[in-house]
Amino acid sequence: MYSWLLQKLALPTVSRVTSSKFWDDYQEMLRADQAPLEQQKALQWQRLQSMLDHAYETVPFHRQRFDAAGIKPSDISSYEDLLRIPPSTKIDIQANFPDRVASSIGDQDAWRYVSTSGTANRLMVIQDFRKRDMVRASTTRSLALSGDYAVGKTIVEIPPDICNIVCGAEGESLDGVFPQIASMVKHRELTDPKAISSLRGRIERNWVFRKKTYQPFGPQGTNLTEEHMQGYVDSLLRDRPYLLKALPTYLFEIARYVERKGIEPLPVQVIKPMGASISPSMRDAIERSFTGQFREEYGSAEFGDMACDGPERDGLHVFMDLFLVEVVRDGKHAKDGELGRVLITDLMNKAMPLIRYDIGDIARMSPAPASAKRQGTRLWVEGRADDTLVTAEGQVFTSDKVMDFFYKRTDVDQFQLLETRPGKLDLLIVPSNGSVRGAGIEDELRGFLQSEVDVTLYEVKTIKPEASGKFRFVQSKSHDRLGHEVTHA
Amino acid sequence: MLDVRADFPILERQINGKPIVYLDSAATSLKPRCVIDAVTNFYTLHTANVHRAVHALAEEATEQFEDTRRVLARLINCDENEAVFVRGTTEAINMVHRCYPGLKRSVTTAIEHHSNLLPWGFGPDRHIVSVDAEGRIDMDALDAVLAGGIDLVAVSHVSNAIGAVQPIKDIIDRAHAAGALVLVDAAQSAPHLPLDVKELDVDFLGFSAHKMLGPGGIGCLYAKAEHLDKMSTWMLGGHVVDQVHREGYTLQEVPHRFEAGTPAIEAVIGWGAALRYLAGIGLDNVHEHDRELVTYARNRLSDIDHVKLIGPTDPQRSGSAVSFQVDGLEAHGVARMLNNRENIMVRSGFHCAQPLHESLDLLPTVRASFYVYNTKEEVDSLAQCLEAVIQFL
Repeated sequence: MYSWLLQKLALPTVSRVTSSKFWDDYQEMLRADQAPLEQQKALQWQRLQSMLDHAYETVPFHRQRFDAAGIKPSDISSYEDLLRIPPSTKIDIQANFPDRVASSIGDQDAWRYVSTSGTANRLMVIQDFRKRDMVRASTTRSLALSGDYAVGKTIVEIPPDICNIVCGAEGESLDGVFPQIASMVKHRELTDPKAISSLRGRIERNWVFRKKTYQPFGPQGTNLTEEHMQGYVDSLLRDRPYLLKALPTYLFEIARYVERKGIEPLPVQVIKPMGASISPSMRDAIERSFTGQFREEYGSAEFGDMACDGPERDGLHVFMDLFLVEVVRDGKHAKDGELGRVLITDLMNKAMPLIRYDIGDIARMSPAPASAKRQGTRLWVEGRADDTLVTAEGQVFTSDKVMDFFYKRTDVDQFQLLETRPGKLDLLIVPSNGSVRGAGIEDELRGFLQSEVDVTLYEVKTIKPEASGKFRFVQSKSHDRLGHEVTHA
Repeated sequence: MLDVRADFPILERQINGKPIVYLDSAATSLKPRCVIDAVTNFYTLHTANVHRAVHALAEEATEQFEDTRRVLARLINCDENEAVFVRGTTEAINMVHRCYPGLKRSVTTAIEHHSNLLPWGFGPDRHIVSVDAEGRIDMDALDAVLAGGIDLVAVSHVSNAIGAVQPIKDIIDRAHAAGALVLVDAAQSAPHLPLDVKELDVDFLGFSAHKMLGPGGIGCLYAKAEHLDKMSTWMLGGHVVDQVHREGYTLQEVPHRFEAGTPAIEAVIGWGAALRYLAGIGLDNVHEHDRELVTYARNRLSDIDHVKLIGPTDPQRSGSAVSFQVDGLEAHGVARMLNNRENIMVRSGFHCAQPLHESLDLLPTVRASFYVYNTKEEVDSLAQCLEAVIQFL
């Protein structure tokens, strides 16, 4: 009933009486997904050309790069032509943020700074109101594509642990709607744009998406106490959310606790990863411990949701109406199914255009339609480029592959593989029981990597997250070889 | 203005083709060549343990080590035996808390660094005196607490968070009149101001080497000789004892009884070089240099829309830091943008002074802090970068 009222009455009304077009955008996206491929491509290309024109005319950073490359937006008339535009990186954006990467036109009062999680190396972007509506709409679209989601169903999130108290990082406010209204009345801020914006955010969080946030694992790492783990189980049994979205490591650890303790699968309809990709064996473990299905999506705070999979599990379907995604290798577009670096062009954020932005991930892509129902480009993300091992022989091992190697072993509870220099690996293992010394794990790793790497084994009690709160289970020093010496993938 | 930048090799470094603008000296200072050379020289020519062996290297090491204590004592006008080497200001405060008998009733202030709050506990015998928006301690409230009977007043001389300078002599006199001892956290003042412990009549004073051009991991607890005599040792081991028998032991004289184990010898020696360097400049001149920069920075930043300055408005009450907020931008976001665009390195957050922010209802702040090597041109870079960022607000 609550969802029905939201979808049939409240949200359409909001669309009519306010400047927010989130609900209209969402409806349009659902229609776009059903459109024939040629129509989707035409829309994508039309928005791309509009964005290139806009970026060239109003953003000094992009104009300078186009000029340096001797091209104009009108020269980009085919997919191959995109290769003439130099990719941009986080360093480029950070060094020019905000004035040289933001548009010189637009309603700057409606702009908002957004940044990815983490403390030191966050990319900050500016989003305009239109883009924010699009982000909300594409989030809802991902949820709708995950099953039988209806706006208003409960969502639980467990975000990465970032220092938000002592270090003074200000995150999203988790307070309710009424405290904000009371504060606005008390401080006579009923017409203050910032207060209204904050109120809008809280209404969206608490009433539209009905989000609850659980505490993250904390800096102690992967191996929490049983009491702590049981706390998550009890909370999920109490809240019975439609969606559980959390750092993959958190999901995996909760799933393994449920299995270890013989607890009945937890009543969550859809489980999604947040902030990192997930390996197939992690996904299997998660699905055994929850009643619902695991659904992958690809997105970030600065872009919003860019792709998601569906029940068919045939890859992440790119939202072609909002993004143009490329996978490149050695300066060329990777072949169908070939591994390469992911470049993103945001087709909607006019406040701060991001064109061919190297997001730091590696993936495979296929333009071949999955089915008559979903015909768009599909993506298989395999981890961060910086976490990819490239052996002396040129073999490429993404973090997902390495995770699968370890998570298939019953004697390994957790692991971390640190490449201290190319070919030299420190292997940290949290054993499931007893010790893994003498089990031959070093030789098996060498066999898996098909390389005579130097492996030193350490047994530890936990794997700790980075300052960003995220876990990096594989840290590579050989990833620079990507695109240069790769002979096989 | 001082002109010493050539003495600091790190200032020659460039990141992404641009020089660095280091405005985070309240966190730690850069190191002059003489300090780097002193540490390197010790490793290269004099490596040995101190206070132990009779061979030549040990004697050289001990002589250099103890020379730092002499320089230190001259700098703050105390006896050499009143200067205890500790790991830093935090350890100095904790040592007084743990080792001086009878410090049950204490009073501190809302502006303190966590290091001068946490050791004193949270019980009914611990009082916290408020400060106003400019960081001024409520002296009436302090008097009222003192009148109730207090063993120790623990107070910072200069706030690390907002740069407010306290009337420390007045506080010490009021405390003594009420029969209380006084511990001064001088982490942010010893590097920047001439300090005379005799003139101040302070009971305990702690400060760190790394904030005054020296290496990390070393600092000083000054305590009046009669207080050191009353203090118990908190670590036993090598160097703290005179004799050890199966039946017991006798302690060394102060200050050695408080310096258990092998100390950070090279850090102490490096600190000696730093102290001589500072003495060569003259702490009066350092203070004048800081004041000119802070005044310039406050004037420059106050002209920028959306920038809100925090802390003392009177330059006479300002230390070497300027804290501010930018409307509509998270403090960490501002700090990242300054770093990413122009290698301008500032601190952001609560600066280990969360109770201050809570009591003044302050969101996290951005702090630019200065020292002998900073220039007005660097302040201009900060202001220009902020202006570029803020034009989009």
